[in-house]
Amino acid sequence: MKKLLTGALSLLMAAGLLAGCKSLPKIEVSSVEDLNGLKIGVQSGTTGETYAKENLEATVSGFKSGMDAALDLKNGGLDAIILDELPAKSIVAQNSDLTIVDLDLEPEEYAIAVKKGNTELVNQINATLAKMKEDGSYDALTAAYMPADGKITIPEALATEGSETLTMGTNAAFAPFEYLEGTEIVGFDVSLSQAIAADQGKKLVIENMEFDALISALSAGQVDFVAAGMSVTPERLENVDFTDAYYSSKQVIILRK
Amino acid sequence: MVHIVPGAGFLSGLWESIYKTLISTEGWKVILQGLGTTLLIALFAVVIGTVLGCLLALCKISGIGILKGIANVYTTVIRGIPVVTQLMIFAFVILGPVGVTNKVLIAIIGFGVNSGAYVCEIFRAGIQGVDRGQTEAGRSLGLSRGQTMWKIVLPQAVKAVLPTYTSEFIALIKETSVAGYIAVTELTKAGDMIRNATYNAWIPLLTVAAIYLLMTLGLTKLFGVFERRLARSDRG
Repeated sequence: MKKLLTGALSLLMAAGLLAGCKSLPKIEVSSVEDLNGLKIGVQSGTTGETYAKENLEATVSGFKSGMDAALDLKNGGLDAIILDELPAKSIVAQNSDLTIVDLDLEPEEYAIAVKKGNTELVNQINATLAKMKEDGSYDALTAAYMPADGKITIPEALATEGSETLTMGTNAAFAPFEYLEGTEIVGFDVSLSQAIAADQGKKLVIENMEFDALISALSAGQVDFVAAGMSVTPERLENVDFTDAYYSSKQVIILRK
Repeated sequence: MVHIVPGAGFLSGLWESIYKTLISTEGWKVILQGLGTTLLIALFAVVIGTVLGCLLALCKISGIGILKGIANVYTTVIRGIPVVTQLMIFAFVILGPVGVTNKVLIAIIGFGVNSGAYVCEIFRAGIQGVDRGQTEAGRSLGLSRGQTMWKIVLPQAVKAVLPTYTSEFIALIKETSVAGYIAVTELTKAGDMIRNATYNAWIPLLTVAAIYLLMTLGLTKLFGVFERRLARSDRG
């Protein structure tokens, strides 16, 4: 039995060593056509997933987060990942063996989603957005979370008091829009939502869930609005209402270097 | 002439939802493929789990210190960690980095290894639950230890453990629903994909729930037949 164990252990270690120096195939992608036939990872429920399923002849796997897909890409389970630009950049910044290819895919507009028919909340949020763009606090937020030098400074959380609460649904695996810093969920969308809640004199409550559960949670009334780097799409518009767009993004491709 | 049928609006709305989620978008194909993957994972995992469980149970009752120790550590560690955590450890820490990237295979191994620990305890309890007198009788009739175990103890143990073994298999089928965490498109994930594409939560979730229920009901009935078949010897 001991012999067997030793054998199994050494086999495992040998496999580990092999894995350490095995070279995964290098995939070159210079156009959308190059993506056909590849194993592609996406985050479940994102526009990247819809894009891949509708436009590509590829094996598409939906992961709970972009980072999970990145792990699989590094392990060789995937050939490429399709993900929103800024979260992709944040992943590549943490993984020196990955790189981004920008195929100039259709631009997308991020907006805040509210339950269908809740025009009151849409108007309130739009008012806050317009005010923030005018008084420069929107630009300050952009500068804080998307700095040219890559060094994010998280703005002081706005004191959101009041007995009434406003619940934001989000998926904190999408830096710099929403992510975990220590034990706090922070990000561009979080700061933006704090401003929205403060304008209404309400306390912001954050509900962190899987991205693909957000719209269901909104329709079921579990959250008041969704701020999660969510792009406006015709399919989503059939089921929720969107505020004015607050950020323009696009899908990019992550590959192994 | 307009006949107002009570509930007609609800029914046609329901039909429209079903049509939109399952039929026009070919969602039923996604569901069927997901069901296939769920069955594939559950069947192979239960085979691995049963084989592993048998070996570990024999280790536990073997009376050999090291074998007992290994089996004890195995069941303690595996039963002490949630299956979804184990699954992600297999996918992202153990098997992924050494080049095993087939997610369905990882899920089969993960659930099989997990089930093995529970099956081991079920079998051990079953074997130890057989009265000592049975072993003593077998030995005094001149059967060897192995023969006694195989011909006298095990048949009685199998009969005793069948109900708990059934519930382990059923639990395993339901547990495979977390395989979506490692990007396996099993039944639950298939429902999720339809929900993501149509933003309709009701139909995909209720359809998936109904399929799980049918599977577990069917299995309960099937194992019930086995149990009655095995119980015949009791009446004689």
